[in-house]
Amino acid sequence: MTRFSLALVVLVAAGCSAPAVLSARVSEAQAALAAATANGVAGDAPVAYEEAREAVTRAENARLQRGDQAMVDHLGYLALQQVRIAEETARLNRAGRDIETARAERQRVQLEARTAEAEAAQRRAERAQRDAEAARREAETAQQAAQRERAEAEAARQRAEAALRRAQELAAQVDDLQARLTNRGLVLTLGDVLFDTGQATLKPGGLRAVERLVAFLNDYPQRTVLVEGFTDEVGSDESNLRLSERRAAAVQAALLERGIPPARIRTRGYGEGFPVASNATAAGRQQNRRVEVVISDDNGTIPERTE
Amino acid sequence: MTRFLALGLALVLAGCTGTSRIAPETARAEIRTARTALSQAEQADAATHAAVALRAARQKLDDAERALSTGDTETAERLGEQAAIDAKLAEARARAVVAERAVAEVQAAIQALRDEIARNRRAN
Repeated sequence: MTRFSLALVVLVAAGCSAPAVLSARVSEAQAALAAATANGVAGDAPVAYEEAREAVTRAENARLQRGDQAMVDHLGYLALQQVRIAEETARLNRAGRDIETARAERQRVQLEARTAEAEAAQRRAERAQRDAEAARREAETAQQAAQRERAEAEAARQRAEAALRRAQELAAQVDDLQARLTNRGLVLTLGDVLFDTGQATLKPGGLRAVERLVAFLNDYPQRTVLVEGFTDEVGSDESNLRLSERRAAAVQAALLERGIPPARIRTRGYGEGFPVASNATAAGRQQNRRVEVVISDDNGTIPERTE
Repeated sequence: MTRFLALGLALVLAGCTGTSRIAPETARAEIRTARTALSQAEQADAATHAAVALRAARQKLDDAERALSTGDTETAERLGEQAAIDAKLAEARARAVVAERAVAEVQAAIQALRDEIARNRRAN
């Protein structure tokens, strides 16, 4: 009986403490702790991690030592939640570190952004200035071109006006002198009929022509004259040359007599040279017997006779 | 001898089943702790960021109070303890979410600045 009783006590005691309770909660808490450890939670949240670890150990010990399933599950649940809290605390702490880094980074990037903005503004301003400068230069060039064009137009107008005036003047001079316009300038021809036959004396008609020439020379004091005498082929060259010279001199004398300064008058005799008509007929010979007065331009120049 | 044995057996069995009585005051203290933890979680905006954990905490707190009112102090104590730890988890989770969101906001701001820099550099 005593032996049996003792055995019973041993049996009961063993039944109470021996078989470790199976608890899904505790297993879950252990797995969660292992994952947290792998996640570095011990480093990121040391206090919370330590609490979780202790909670898991408590649950594990309860599982191994005691038989109250509800108590083991309860401790397992507390341990699991403690591990989760450690995980969340680690997240919080990591975020706390990250935000410090991020804020420092933001400050750096803000500075960079302000610098970039300032540089962009600077470049915009420079470009605007360049554009304005280019536009100003372009406008200036256009204005200068316009001015040049106006000036050229004005000059052309003046030239045209001057040409017109000269032409009108020339026409008037030709009219006044009853002269001809040739490539040497104005030429007044005093025909044979204005001289006494074979003589160097001017007839009244010739003197009228001289009067017109004097009036003209008084109107244009910068002009000079070249008086050229010509004859026909009749008679010797020698006598013809002399006659042509004398007739030119007669015109010169008439001009001097009427107040034209000697410096403005030159004379030449060409004899029977430079005929203007055939010497074969009486009419042609009469045309060749003549005096031509070539009038200079405003500079006093008279082109040389070429034919 | 037999009497002695029976006494010993009873003693062992009693110790084994652990029908240790929990004083109502102990359970009430646990419930108070849970209520405090819950209120702290709510202040941390757990209703928005850790709704599931917060709901679990509230449910367990209600259950703990009901158990206490029926005299089940042991259940009341355990549920109170669980409600407290659920509330603490809700709080920790809410704080972590808020902190991570703040990090994300700063990082988004950094990205926006970088985009702006790139635009400014491109623009010229």
